[in-house]
Amino acid sequence: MISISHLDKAYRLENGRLHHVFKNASVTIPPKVNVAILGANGAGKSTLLRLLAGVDQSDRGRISTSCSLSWPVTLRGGFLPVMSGRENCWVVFSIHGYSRESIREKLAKVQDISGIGEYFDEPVKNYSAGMRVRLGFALCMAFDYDYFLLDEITSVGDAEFRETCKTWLLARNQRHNIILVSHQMNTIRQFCQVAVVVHDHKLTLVEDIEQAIAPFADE
Amino acid sequence: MNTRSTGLPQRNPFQVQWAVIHALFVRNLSAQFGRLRGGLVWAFVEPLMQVLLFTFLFYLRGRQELGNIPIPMLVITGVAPFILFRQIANGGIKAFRQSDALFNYRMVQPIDPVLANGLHHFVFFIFTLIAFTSVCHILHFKIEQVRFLELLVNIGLLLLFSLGLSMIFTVLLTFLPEARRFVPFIIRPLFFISGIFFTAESLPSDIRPYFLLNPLLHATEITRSCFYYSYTSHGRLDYLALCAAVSLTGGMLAMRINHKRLLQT
Repeated sequence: MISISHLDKAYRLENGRLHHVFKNASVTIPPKVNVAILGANGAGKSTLLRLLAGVDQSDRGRISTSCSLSWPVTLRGGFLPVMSGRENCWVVFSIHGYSRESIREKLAKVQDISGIGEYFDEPVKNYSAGMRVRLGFALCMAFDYDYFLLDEITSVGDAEFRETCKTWLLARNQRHNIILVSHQMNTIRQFCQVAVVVHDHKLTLVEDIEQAIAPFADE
Repeated sequence: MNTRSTGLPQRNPFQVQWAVIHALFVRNLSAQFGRLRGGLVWAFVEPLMQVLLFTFLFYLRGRQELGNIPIPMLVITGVAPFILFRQIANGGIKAFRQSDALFNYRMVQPIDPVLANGLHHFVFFIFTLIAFTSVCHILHFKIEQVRFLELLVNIGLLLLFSLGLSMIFTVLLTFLPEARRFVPFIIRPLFFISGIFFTAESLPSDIRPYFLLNPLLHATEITRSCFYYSYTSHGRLDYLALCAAVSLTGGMLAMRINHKRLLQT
């Protein structure tokens, strides 16, 4: 269970004015379900993921949970472009406190899941968008989080990658859940049981996924 | 938010930060190894060129030593601390920008790349100083002593002073890119007034107090007195400590106040 209460978040724009993303937003996500986050562009879906992951801080309000949440897995991915995929993954495992032996083991696993083969040792700046996402996803899957926060990543991969995603996510469904931002309603239907709708600085939980999708379906 | 079920042991904040700094440090090292042919050797080329150039210039004027110190040792005890200072003060912002993708992971804080950059250049400094003094010793240039503890305190304070400035410049250049125009103009002239090729004793006594406002000159003077007891040093550890305290306080305050905004860049 994740409960968000009285969340305020504003960004200062370049022109000096404040842009409010959330104003007094509260929602409680029930345990053991996969969650879709729905909303128009710029409504604050990615901001919500960043706040959940703890990589950005709210101005007011609390996010409380006893579960562990991954970092937001995004299209850009938290990779340094000049380093190879392997070095990037090494850094991530290393900052999470894995020992040297287990890192070696995990790196082999990441290379295997990602399916990018030789490119694992190429600088990330030479990757295509799809390869970058494959690597980001594979890296995250090497961790044992309760919730995986996925931001739009299913939209760029090819069919094979989507199949890999599906296999991994469904296989892990017993113990792990996902919080997914996506504009592809089929993907959402496939994975998620409930939705959190971001609209007008507020968050609303919709327990019926079809009902939640309906306003966005014809986009 | 806890990480109970990630299959990893709970760590205290210091272990987390150390893991991050260590990872960034190793990454920096491997980048420096990989980028240039010859790798780490290039890190020693700059101090070597300075030493050779100034030794040559002094010898042209017929001077073998200044303030009772052989010229190569005079230059290296000035150049090495200055390079340490310059690389850390200047390099913080670059390290910060190059690590921005890693702020995607919650344990990486804005201060970590700045500290990792400091550690990187500190290690190079230690190697530079040991290598050059050893070579000078082998070549029979006079070295009277090594006051190791004093040297360590002196360099430690210089490191803290540089780190503080590094943090201040990181914040300044992130939110005020125009500062790029004047920050080099602060640092570059310091090369000429930090006692790299002169001693405080050799300055006219009515100008000397003004030069001694510069903490880098203090660090250079103390470094020299750690190798030569016959050297007349004007460096004061307490003044260097004061500068380090002010700079570090300012730097950490700047980082802390802007913490949230630094994460969003």
